[in-house]
Amino acid sequence: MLNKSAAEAALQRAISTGGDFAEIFYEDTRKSRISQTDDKIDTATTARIHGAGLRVYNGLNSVYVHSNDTSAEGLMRLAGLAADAVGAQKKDVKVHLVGSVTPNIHEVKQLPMDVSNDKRAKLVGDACRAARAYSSEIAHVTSAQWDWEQHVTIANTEGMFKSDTRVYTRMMTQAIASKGGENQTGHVGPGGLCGFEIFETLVDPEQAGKEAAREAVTMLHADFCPAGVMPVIIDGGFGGVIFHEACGHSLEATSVSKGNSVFCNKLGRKIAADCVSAVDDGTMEGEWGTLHMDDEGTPTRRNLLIENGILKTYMIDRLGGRRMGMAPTGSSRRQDYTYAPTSRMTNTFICAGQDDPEEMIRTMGDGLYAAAMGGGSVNPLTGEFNFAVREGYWVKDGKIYCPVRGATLVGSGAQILMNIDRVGPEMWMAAGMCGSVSGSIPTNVGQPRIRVSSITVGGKGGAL
Amino acid sequence: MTYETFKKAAFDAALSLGAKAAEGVYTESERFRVGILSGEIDSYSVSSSYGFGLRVQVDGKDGYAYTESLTEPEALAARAVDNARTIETEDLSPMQGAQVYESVTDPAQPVADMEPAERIALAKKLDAAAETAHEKIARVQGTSLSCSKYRLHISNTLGLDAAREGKSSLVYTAPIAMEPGKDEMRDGLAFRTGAEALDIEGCAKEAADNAAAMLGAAPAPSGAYRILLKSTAACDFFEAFSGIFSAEAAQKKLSPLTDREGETIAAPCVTILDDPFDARAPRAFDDEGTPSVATTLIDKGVFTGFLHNLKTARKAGVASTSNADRPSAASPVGIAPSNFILAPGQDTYDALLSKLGKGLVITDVSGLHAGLNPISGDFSLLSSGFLVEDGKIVRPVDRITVAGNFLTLLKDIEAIGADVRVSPSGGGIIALPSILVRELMAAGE
Repeated sequence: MLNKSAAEAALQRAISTGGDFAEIFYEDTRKSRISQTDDKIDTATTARIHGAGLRVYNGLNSVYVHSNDTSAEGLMRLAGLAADAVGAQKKDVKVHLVGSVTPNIHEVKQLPMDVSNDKRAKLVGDACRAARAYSSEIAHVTSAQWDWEQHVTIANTEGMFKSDTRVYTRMMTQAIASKGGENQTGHVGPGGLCGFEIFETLVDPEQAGKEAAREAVTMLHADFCPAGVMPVIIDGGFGGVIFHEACGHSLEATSVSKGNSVFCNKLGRKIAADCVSAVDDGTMEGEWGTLHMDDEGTPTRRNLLIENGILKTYMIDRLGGRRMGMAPTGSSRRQDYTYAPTSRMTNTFICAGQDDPEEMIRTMGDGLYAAAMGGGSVNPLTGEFNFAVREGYWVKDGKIYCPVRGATLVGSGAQILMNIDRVGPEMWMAAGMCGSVSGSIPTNVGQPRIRVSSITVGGKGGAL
Repeated sequence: MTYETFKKAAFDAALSLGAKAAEGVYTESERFRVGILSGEIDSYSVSSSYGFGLRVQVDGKDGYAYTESLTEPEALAARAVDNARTIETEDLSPMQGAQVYESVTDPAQPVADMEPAERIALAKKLDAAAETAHEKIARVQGTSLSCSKYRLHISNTLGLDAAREGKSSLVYTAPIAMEPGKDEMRDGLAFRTGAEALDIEGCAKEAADNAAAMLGAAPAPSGAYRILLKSTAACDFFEAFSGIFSAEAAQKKLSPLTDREGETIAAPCVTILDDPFDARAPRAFDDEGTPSVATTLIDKGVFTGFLHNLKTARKAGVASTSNADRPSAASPVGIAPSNFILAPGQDTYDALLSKLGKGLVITDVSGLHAGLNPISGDFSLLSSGFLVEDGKIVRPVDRITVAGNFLTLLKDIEAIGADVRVSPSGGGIIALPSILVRELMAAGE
C-alpha cells in the first residue's frame, strides 16, 4: 500500500522547484496466464508488477519518473529527480491528502488469484477439444486464459488520495484449419472487467472453441476477395475496430491538443453522416473497457462523441485539457506505472440506428459483407487506415454469394464516417487490446451492422 | 532484500519444493527520454527499474514466475513450481550449464554518455533542423531522444553465470509537410541510433524530404505491378515475417517452411544470415546463456535451417543456434533472430529504379500486425510510395494495398541493392537493402 504521509512528503518535494501539480500513481498487480496447444498445456506463468510513477507539471511542461522502489525513501528519490528536472526555483508547499475511497461498483464474485491451475487448465482444455472435434480440417488449436488484478492508489497535490482495484479476466482461442498446404485461422477472445464468474455467465469455452473452428474452416474454403472500390457491410462486435482506430484515436486529446488530428477545431461541426452517433462509455458494468475511475482518479463517464453526425466532444486527460482549455472527461489511462497517462478510449461504439439489417444487403448490389474484422492500423494525422477482414462474404446482386478471404479495407476515417448510409438496430461489442503512447490497455469496440456506400477493398482475387 | 540474497532464497525454496534446477534472469535498467514540441520540452521522463524472472525445472518441464518486488522469494518459487507441474507437453526444456564466452565490443553510444542538458539541447536542435530542412515543412509533429543503460544477469543452479551491460540510444523526428493554402498534411519520419544519433542534419533532412515527397499522393490504379521494396519498407516487412525461421513454429507446424530444409525457396541472389557477432549490435550469448554462433538461414536461395533454442534443438537432435529469446525477464523462453541480415547486392538505389522501369516503389508498409499471416505467408498491406515510369519517379502514391505471399516474393526477387538500412529489432538489428520484385498485386483506385 502507498503510505499517505510518505506520499504527502514526496508530493511536496516534487513541486518544491516550481511545479504547479504533482501526482503519484502506485501500482501492485498480479498476473496469471495459462495456455494449451492442441491437447497439452504448454505454458503457465505468473507475474507481479510493482512500482510507482510520479508526474510533475509546470504549465504545459511535464516530467514523468518511475521506479520499482515504493518505500518512503524511494518515493522521495523519485520526487527529487522530477523536481530537479522541473526547475531551480525554491518554494515551500504543504500537501494534505484526503482519503476518499469510494465503493467499487464493479463487483467481482470470484477473484482469479484464488483459482487453481487445474481449473484454468480445464477451461483451455475444453476450448481446444471442442475446436478439434469440429472438423478434421482443424490442424491446430491454441487456447490461452489470462487475468490480472491491478491495485492502484492515486495521490495528487490537490489532495486526492484514491484507491481502486481492477480485475480483468479473458480467454482467447485460435483455431487453424489446413488443407493441401493452405492455412486459415479463426479467433474468439471474450473478456471483461470481472472475475472467473465470466465463465459461468458470458463465456462458454466449448462454444468459443467451436466458433473459432467454424471461422477457420469457412475461410479455408473461401476464394480470394476481388479488389476495388465497392459498398461494404461491416457487422457489429469487432467491426467497431474501424471506428476505434480511424475516428476514435483522432478524437483523443493526445492528437487533438497538438493539432495532429483531422478533427481539430471541428466541435459542433458535421463530421459524419446524419445516421451516425457514437459514444465512449467507461461506466458499462463488467465490460472489458470499463473503469471505476480513470488513471488520474477522475470518475469515468459516458461521453457522447458524435450525435447525428455532429462532433460533440473529445476524449480528454488532464494535460490534454490544459493544452485545450477543456475539462478532463474521465479518459486518462495507462498500461501500468511505467507510463505517464494520456487520453484513451474505454468502451467505444457507434450507437444503434433504425435500418433493417437484411435490407442493407438486399439493396447493395455487388460488394463485400465483412462478418468479422481483424486488426488494423491508422495514421492519426491523416486518419488513413487499413484493416484485415477476418471473415468476409462476397455479395452478388444483393445476395450473399460465397465466403472470401484476404480482404483488407482501406480508407480514411473522415471519409468513411460521411459514407455510412445504413445503421442497424442492434449494437454489440468485442474485446481488444489498444496500443498507443501510454501502453497497451483493454478496450471494447462495438457497433451495430452498418453499410458504407463506398470503400476501397484490397485483395488478390479477380472478378467473381 | 538485495538481488543476490533474494535469488539465493528463491533458488533454495525452488529446490526444496522438488525442482531439479532453478534459473534467474535479473534485469536492471535506467531510461531517459525527452520529447520536444514546438521547440519546447513537451515531455521528460527518467526511470529506473528491475525485475527478476524465476524459471524452475520440475520433471523436465519449465515453470515461470516473475516479480518487480524483491520480497517473498518463497512465494515466487512456489508459484513457479506449481506452474511447472501444470505443464503437460512432453518436450523437455534443458538449461544451460557453465559456459565460456567470446568478448564482444559494443558500438559507441555517445548520446547515452551525455549529461541530460546536452541531450535536451541535441533534441531541440533536431526539432529545429527538421522544421527548416525543407520549404514545405509547416511544423514538427514531435521530436524525441531516448537512451538507456541496462544490466542483465542470467544464472542457474547448474553453474551458468552470464552477465552483460549495454547502452542504447535513439533520436527521431516527425515533421509535417503542407502545400501552402491547402489542407493536405503529410508526415515523414526518420530516426538515428548509436553513433549516428549525432547526425542531426541527416536525420532532419531525411524526415522532411520523406514528408514533402508525399504531398499530392493518391492511389494508383489496381493491377499487377513490378515492385521496388525500398530498404525502409523491406526492414519492416522482413521483420514481420522473421518468425517463419523459428524452429518452435516449425515444430508446431506453424511455419510455411516446415520440413523444407535443403529446398530452394528463394531466388539465387538471396542469402539471409542470423549473425549475433555483427559489429552493429554484437552479443556473446543468448537469453539462455548459450554462447553465440552465426547461422545461415538461406544460402543463395536454398533454405538451410531453422533458428533454435535449447528446447527445440534437443527435440530436433541438433545444437542450439543461440537464438533463445526472452523479450523481458517476465517472458518464457522463445526464439528470435539476433541480428537478421539480408546480404546486400551490387546495385545502387538509382540502378534499381532503372531496372524497375515501370512499376511502384514501396517506401512504407503499415498494418503489419494484422495484414499478414505468418502461418501461410499471405500478406495484404496498406502501402505508400511512388509510381515509376521509364525508371523515373512520376508521382507519390498512397492508400494502396499490396498483396501476395512471402515465399512467392522470395522466389520473385530479381535484384538486391547495396543501400543497406539498419533498424533496431528486438535486442539486435535487422539490416536490409532495397529489393526488386518481379510482380505483386496492388489495389488502389
